[in-house]
Amino acid sequence: MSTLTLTRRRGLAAAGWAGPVVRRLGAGVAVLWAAATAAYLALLLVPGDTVDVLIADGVDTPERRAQIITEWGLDRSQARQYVDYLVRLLHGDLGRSYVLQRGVGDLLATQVGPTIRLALTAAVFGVVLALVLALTTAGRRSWFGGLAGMSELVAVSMPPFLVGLLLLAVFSFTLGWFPVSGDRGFVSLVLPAVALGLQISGVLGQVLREGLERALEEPFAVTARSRGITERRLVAGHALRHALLPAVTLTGWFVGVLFGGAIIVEAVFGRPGLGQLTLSAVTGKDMPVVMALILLSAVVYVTVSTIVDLSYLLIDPRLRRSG
Amino acid sequence: MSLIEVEDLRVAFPKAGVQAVRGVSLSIAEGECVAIVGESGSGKSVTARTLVGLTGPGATVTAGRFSVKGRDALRFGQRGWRRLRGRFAGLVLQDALVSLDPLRRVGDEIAEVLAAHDVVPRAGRAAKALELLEAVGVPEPELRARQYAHQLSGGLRQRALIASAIAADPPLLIADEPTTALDVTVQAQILRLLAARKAQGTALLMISHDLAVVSSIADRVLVMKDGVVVEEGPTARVLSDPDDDYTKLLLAAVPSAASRGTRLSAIATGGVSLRTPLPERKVDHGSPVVEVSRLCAAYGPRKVVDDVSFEVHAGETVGIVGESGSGKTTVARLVLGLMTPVSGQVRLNGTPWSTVSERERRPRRSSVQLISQNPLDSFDPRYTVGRLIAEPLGGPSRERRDRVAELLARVGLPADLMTSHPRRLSGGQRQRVAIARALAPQPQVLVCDEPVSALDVSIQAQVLDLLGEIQAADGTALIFISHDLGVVHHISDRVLVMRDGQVVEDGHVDEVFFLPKHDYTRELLGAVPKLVSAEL
Repeated sequence: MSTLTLTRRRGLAAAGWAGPVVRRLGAGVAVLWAAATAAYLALLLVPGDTVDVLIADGVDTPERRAQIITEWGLDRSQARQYVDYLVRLLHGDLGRSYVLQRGVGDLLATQVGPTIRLALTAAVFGVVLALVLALTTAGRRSWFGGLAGMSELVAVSMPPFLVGLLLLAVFSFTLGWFPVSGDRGFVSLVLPAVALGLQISGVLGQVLREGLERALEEPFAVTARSRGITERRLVAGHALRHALLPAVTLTGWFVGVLFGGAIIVEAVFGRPGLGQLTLSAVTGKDMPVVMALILLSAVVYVTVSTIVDLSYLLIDPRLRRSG
Repeated sequence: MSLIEVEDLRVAFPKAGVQAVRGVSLSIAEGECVAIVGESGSGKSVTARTLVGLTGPGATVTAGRFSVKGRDALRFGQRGWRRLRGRFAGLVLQDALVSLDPLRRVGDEIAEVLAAHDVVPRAGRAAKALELLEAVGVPEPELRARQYAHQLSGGLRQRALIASAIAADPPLLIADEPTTALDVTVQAQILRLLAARKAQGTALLMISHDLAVVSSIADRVLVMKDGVVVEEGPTARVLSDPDDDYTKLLLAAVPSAASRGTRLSAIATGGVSLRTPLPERKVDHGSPVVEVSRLCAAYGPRKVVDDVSFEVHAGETVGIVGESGSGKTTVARLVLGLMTPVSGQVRLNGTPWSTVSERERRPRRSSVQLISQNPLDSFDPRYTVGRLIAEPLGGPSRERRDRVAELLARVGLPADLMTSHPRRLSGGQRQRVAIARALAPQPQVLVCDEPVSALDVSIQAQVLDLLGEIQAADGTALIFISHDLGVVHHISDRVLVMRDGQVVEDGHVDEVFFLPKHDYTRELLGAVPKLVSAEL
């Protein structure tokens, strides 16, 4: 696009945002639809009668069967069933768990809070630790930098459950500083969050440091230094933004680590949350809950990757061009 | 008083085992323009950066004397250097696209200098940045200050970079290859801007690989080679009457009208410099090898080649000149059959080429080969040199080894390079490998797209000589694309001047370059920096 046309447009379009934003949101909707369809196909493909599948280990009575047939519209045509299912989803109706005898929406609502608290605390812990490590050690060939690099490697290679068990052994059983299990406010959040966030801080710290060091060798860094600015200002004003780009790419992976890891960490620390719910739903073949969890993870991924893509545009103006 | 005085400056990078600068003495007086000229690896950039304390990590700097503004720079700490950078000396690097922070607005980049030295109070910095942009000739400064480097044209962003270097009004401006990535007309504008700064009393230190670029502006020239100054003196004297053999070689290696038909490299030195002729080449004026007729091509709605026609005969060289975006490379892609024209056609050996299907084209592809600007990008990084050259022959094999060795010998490379990886070769060696690969299928046409633009002048001379020899021996037709009018004048028989996808002028190269009819050709020729002693 020529600079001339750029001057003629205003607002979002002028900044070259409109095109990418619309494309990204459209793609997000398409992915959600695909996930919903995949969940539906999973239900159809499970061997056996759909009513049997939905009941699973729940109580099997003729009334229950009739209820399922009306709720899922199983007496209607296949196409109609599928459309009804999508319409129900659009209304926010996730169906009922016939095993637990509760609405799936309710179930998720009670379990999602603790998991989000855990994931966010872990993420904040991981990001802050990574930033501190990267900023204090980038470009410095000191023993401290080497030590940080080593400990990052250790953090990356330790699975969360192992970290969790070690933390429990030291801080709960030996020192007694933190509760062993349950969900009793922030105190009981500390150890699980550390167990979950440590892996993230290891990877993120390495990526950030590499990005910082690469940016500090670019020609623009030489130019910036030639202006007489301090090294700290060079990092804060120039290099950090460049280092953030590859780090932001990893955010999608973090979400995977956080939610996957949460299942294990919740088990280790005996915390309520989606982890427990997922485990029981999968082992109990509770299809409505499993389907809702598929959808939930799709929503989380789509939201996160949309935010990631849009934050690229925010960080790197060179990507805003195609309108 | 001298702004900077350095005696016996030595810079080494002990970890890499490199002695980049080995005993350079240099002084820059107020308002003076000094130029350091040399090829890559000569230590000219390292010298320039050392003068502002930016030699880089792991470097050891020693000097007999190193005084900046009368103070001993060897005793400066980081803080001492920081106070001088931007305030005492501004630095302009090549290619503002990467030398300005691509993620920051141009105005913020300029304001950064003002903030670092607190030249202007915070509230006035944005206005001062606009003023500076205006002073370096950037139109619509309000708009440009809000934009990013990639949104500005090459010339504008180089001006913005200069604006950031002069923001704190330093008495010295160090410009490291400030015009290297620019088109010739834009280069002329930037040189005028630097000359205007000099006229206002700013001292300049210009670093360049191009003697012609500095000759118009520098009072004194230092010629550097392998970390040592081999010649130093007033610009006019160094250019017209060089003492040192290396300076003579550099001057003689510059291609021009006067060097046509002669070798550029390895001229006789020691008092007399005589050019030796290249072997005679015969142009077959019968039927042309390549016929391009009324060719039009577009990327989407944008027309990039508009009604271009020309012919190339066996043994002939047709040059295509023009600035970036003029459609030169698209013409190359069309001739190579890598792109389908919107209308018009390319014929090869009298038979259709651009209009036939790829299946019909493939068996004939060996007769048209490409030599590009950056050979490394055109090599599979995992291939060895031997495999790269054997590929067009049908892949590496025992029997083809001899043929590969033969091709390497033709381009002046030893056969034992076969097992090397291209990344480990020098720029000149890489381009030779690219030429050997292009020669492998015995092509009738070589399309050369800026083949020497990334090379030092002495290496460029060798590669141009090599192309001349090949053409004389094989009768290959050459399409030679370049932005460098001197190179094109040296090598071409006929030339096309392109602008905005159209050929504005064509004809015999002497006619077009000595008696240009079109205004644009005149503008291009007028913008070329002239070397005083080009007719050496």
